[in-house]
Amino acid sequence: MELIGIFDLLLMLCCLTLAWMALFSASLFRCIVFFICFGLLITIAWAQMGAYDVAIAEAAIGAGITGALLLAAWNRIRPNRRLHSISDKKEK
Amino acid sequence: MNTLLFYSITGVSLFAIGLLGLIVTSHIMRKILSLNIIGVGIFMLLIALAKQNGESTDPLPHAMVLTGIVIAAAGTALALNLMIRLHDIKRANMRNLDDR
Amino acid sequence: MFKNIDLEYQGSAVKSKASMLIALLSVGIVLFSLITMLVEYQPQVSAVKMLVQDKIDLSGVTNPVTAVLLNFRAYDTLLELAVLLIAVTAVLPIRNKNIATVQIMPSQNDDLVVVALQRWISPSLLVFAGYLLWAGATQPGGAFQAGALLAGSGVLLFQTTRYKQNYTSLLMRYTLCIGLMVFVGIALALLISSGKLLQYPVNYAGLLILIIESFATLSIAASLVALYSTLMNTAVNAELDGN
Repeated sequence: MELIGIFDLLLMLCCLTLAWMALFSASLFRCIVFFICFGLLITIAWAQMGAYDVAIAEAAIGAGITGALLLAAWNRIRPNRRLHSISDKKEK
Repeated sequence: MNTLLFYSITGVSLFAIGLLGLIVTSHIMRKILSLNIIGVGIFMLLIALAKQNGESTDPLPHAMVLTGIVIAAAGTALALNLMIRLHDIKRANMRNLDDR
Repeated sequence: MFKNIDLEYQGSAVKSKASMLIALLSVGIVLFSLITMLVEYQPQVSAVKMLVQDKIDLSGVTNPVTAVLLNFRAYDTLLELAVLLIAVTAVLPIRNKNIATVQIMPSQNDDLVVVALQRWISPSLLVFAGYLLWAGATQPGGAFQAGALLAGSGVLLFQTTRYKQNYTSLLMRYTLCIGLMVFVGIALALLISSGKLLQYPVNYAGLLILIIESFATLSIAASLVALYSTLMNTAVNAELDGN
């Protein structure tokens, strides 16, 4: 099997593992971070399949906007609410 | 057994992982994440099937997936707003119970 | 496992092992049947692909995805802009529309790196988005990608307290609607003049696509950042509620 096939196989394994960890991790913050990483790897998968428009859109919307939305919502449902910015990611 | 078959199998597996997470987990935000992962799995299946024969790709599934990504982001924002509303109601209820 | 919808922050992902086993079994059966169907799938020649390749000269652009999105299936894109606007209307609260769209409030507590990043990267993201919009006619790009990039820069502006933004101001309300309004206006004009819905005349197809894409970019960017602005902390938004 040629090398690009092995790259595709590893990419898909990483996507499946990240998807599992994005749903079944212990802490909610970790789930969101894994989801953002998953979006990034999916961008590479779109590029590998030749869908370059979809890759640009997924990088900006799937990983960027959705990730920011999830982190902002996570900040709102934390148990002790203080004014945190998104750059302050200490877990409670 | 080419790469595109593997990609479509990966898309279907992502759909299955998302479905499992949607059924089994109980936190609302995990359910929202599961819905997003189901969406990404379906998009991957669509794009993998668009390139099956020949070198040229079918642009119609690309356009559908582009539309789908934007609508999924908007739907996620709506769902997160509803989750925060539920959370505020639940917290207000707990505070009422504590006061009594 | 269906009765409990909880919002607790800590704790394991799955509450009971029995439900996990049952669900694993059922989803495993679904996955197995889907993979079996996929392996036996014989791809047919897609007639739509041949049709798009033959008629791409009539569409005014060279990129097949942009041609499909904004010319051959323009009605779907119009409905998508409408759905985005509906989602924004559902979550955007009614606040004071007379407060300015952006106000600069320099304070001492902001992180210097993030403020510098905002000042340097947001203008360059504007240039990148403009390039993506222009290049969408011949290369991968287009309205959605440019709008998403602009939305990223808008989200960046929310990260410190330096820029106090109001996404319900009058200017922003116009920006949210203008993509859909221009698209519907062009569709109505074509309907009145030629009787066919969204069928661009071949000489003007490229120009019409560029006009629709430009306003759609503004609209998409404003919608996505407005969706993000509804999730910010209540202390930031409480000032806007004051009047």
